[in-house]
Amino acid sequence: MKVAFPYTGYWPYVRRGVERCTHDLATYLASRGHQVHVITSTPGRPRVAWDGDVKVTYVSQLNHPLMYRYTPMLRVDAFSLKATRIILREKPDVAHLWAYSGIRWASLLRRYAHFRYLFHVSVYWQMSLGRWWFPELKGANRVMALNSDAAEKVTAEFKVPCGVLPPPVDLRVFRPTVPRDPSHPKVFFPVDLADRRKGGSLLLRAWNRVHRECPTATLVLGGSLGVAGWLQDQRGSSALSHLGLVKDPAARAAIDLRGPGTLDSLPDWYSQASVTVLPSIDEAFGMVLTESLACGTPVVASEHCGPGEIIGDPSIGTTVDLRDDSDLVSSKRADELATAILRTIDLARAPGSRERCRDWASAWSLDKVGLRYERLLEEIVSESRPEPAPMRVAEPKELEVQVASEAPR
Amino acid sequence: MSIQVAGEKRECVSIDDLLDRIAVTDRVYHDLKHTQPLAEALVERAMQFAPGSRVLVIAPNVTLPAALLELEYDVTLWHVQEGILTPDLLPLAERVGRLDDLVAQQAETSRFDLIILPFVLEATSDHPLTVLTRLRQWVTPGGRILVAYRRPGGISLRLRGLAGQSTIPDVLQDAPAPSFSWPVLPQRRVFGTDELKGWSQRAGLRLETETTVVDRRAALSINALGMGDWLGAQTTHGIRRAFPPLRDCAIAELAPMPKAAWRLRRDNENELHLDRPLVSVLVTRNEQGRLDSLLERLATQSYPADSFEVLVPERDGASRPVAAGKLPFRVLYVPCADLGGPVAANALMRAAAGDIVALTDDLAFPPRGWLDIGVEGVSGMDVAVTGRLTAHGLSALPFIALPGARPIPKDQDWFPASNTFYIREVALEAGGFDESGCTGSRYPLGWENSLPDRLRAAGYSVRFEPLIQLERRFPFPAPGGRRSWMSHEFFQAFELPGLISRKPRLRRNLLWRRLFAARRTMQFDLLLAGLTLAAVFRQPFWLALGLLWLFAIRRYVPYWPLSELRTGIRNLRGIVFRHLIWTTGLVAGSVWSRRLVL
Repeated sequence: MKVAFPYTGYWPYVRRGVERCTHDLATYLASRGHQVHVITSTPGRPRVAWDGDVKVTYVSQLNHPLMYRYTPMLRVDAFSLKATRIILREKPDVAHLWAYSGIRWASLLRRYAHFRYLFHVSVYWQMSLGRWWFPELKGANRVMALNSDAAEKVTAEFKVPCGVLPPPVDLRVFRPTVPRDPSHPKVFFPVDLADRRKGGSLLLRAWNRVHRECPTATLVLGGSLGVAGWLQDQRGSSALSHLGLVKDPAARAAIDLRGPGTLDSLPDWYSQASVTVLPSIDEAFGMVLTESLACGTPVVASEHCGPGEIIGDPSIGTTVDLRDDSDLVSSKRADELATAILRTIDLARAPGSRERCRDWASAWSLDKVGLRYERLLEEIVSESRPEPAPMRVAEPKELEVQVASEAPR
Repeated sequence: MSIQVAGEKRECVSIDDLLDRIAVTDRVYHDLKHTQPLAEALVERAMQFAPGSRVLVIAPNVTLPAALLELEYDVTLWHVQEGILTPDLLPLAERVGRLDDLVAQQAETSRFDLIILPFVLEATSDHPLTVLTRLRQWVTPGGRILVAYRRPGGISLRLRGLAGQSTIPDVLQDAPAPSFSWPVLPQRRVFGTDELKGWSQRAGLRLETETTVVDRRAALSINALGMGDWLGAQTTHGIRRAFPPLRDCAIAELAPMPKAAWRLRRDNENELHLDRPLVSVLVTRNEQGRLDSLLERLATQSYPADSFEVLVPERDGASRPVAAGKLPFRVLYVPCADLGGPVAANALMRAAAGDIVALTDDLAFPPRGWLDIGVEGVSGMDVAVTGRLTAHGLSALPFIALPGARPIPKDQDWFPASNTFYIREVALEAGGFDESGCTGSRYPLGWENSLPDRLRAAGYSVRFEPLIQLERRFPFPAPGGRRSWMSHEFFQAFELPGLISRKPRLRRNLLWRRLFAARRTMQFDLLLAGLTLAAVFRQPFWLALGLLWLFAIRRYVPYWPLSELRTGIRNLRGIVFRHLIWTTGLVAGSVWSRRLVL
């Protein structure tokens, strides 16, 4: 099976959830003997590279200050044209489109060029604007979301069935690698520092109290630094510019700004941490939570959206009621977050915590999710043949139950 | 791209290629791309060193050390917390921490051939003098320190000033823009070339070269800009490229001074006992010089006789005027093919043992405190000092005299061979005096300036100290006949425009109205112009242009009483003849060197 993954960002230039999910799924498919081609863009010179057995084509990226000011989505459209050319030339059996893959004319390609694709919803959007943002969704062979809440929204707005396919976590890579020091707990924030929605500023507010009550703790900021052009700290709105929210100099000195690190270093960072914190809103899934759990580290996150579905057991983490923007600047929520972090630090000290977390994460293991994903793609390919099989996509509720039943209680 | 290094062509690393290989996120990529010009400029300068040289980069970005590694340098990094390094560069980080902590630690035994400081000196809490003094201990004797800094004369700061904004940085108000290339360090000060030069000298370094560079691209391609802002950024960048003095960044190359250059300083706390360095007095000879007279004068010096020695060039075992035992100081006769000029001066300097050399000749009459004042002069930041030269009563004082053959009452940027002090080690390291162009007993005009010029170009400080005063006898023409002085003066006049061409600073100090060899040559030129115009236009009133000259020579040409008329005419004839020789020499020299001096 020839599978294409067209998406504007990929490693090493962007390493957020979608890119990491693409990497895991592509690598899994390649390991199963499929031909996998990631079509992406680079700020540098176009080239073709290999990420293991996965072919990666980097097309040149459109970047200009005026473009980002007046027509920021032109970059996606420019990528889309180049990616379409490659798709038409290589004719993959199936393509995996993410929400911002940008192949807006994918449904036309399906009709006139026998293009088959899975559309994977990876973001939350403003209701009623979805049809404008993602016109290709409706014509997809399959539509999947990262959590059941998002799947329901898709069905409600687009009137198409939508399944749930969560991102996998590779338990062979993400595993407890180094011992944790409970006397010097590390609070790990492994997500984009320039993305306001990830709640970095709220965490910095909460850090004042956490450090006061646990002076030996360290806050490790190990996330990426934004996405060029779209998510960056040009106007000083992200956590990177808000380090001043930590008022106590000692608390500020206990912040370790590490940057995104490497894939190899991540398991160590998770393993060393006592708690991984993702105080985000509108989070479609929260891969860092499953990765952290796979490394045996409990987590703190919102009780809504994707994270709410992951943290279904108080013995593997703590949730906070974070719904919208107002929660990210609320001192009350900051206090609740601090309480949750302190509780989870204690949780990490409890015997058997590591094992419980890892067992819980096995529900999203690459072996399980990857197999489902492979079957899904094979269905798309086979049903498009002369004698198509009846479409069989799990309803959101059904999949939710399926995931929940796989998770250990 | 390739650059020429010591006659050998070396391929420069392409930062574009590097950026395609380095695993960094796109935000970091764009910032590195934005600051690529400065990284390239620093790499280009680093390439003066051979592969394998030890290079230390303080507060690096990603591309600079990566490029240096590609060029096979032995790279060490002092990484600041605010910076970003790729995982493959992290093992090179010998020190990690706050900038102030990094530069505050004491020196260890390891030495570096090159230390690179990109935007570091403006960010340290310690004064740059303190930082440079520490770093000097880390540089090998032939090594260099590259300082990249933001210039106060750059267009960005000028525009801020024009807009009424403060040009003095404030660490609280002026938060630096986020950067994933050069670490975001607070800018605590603004400084220029003069400050850096002063700090360097005090730290035992010399500012060898400084070039302005364009350190970044016009605009970061991922930062959204409106049309007005974008056009402004492009225009400003265009100005930076077109007018180097308006560039925002400069790269200064600092070299450690030889130990002697700072060991002798009066403020050197490590050398408190060294209050009386050994001085070598180098005496060059003249045909009409009186060595015995000079040695007698030196015997009366207030400087202790056991702290100086006198070196005299000697050819073919010529007779020595004073027996060695009769003088309170040591006299050393140095065999030399030439008794005067640069050849003798270099030979004497090489044979000297003193930390300081005092250059004079056997026509000089040094006053009693001459050595004391001279030694004091080179006990500061300067490695060469000169002083005033006055004419002794027995001098020939012709109506006009060319540079090098006349007294020096004030700073004329002329370092006469008869009254200049040097720090010997520094002078020798700089290569001594230029011996090219010497033919027989004739030396090129201004040969004694070649060494101070080179020292100044190498970043040392040289100066004029009016207290270092010395009398000298300017002799009458040698008894070789008229032809010898005529040819001598002609060639001196011929060489003057070339000298001015090579050393434009002399134009202001040495020339009258920046055009004429002397005020009297201007008056004579006016006379010639008046004569010519009167002949061409047949209008005698043009002759009035010569009145100035006639007025100037009135003392030398007595018209009254009539009995003196014959003497007056003879003098007038001599003056005109001398003027004509000069004018011919100056015009020929001006044509030859394409630099007009009249």
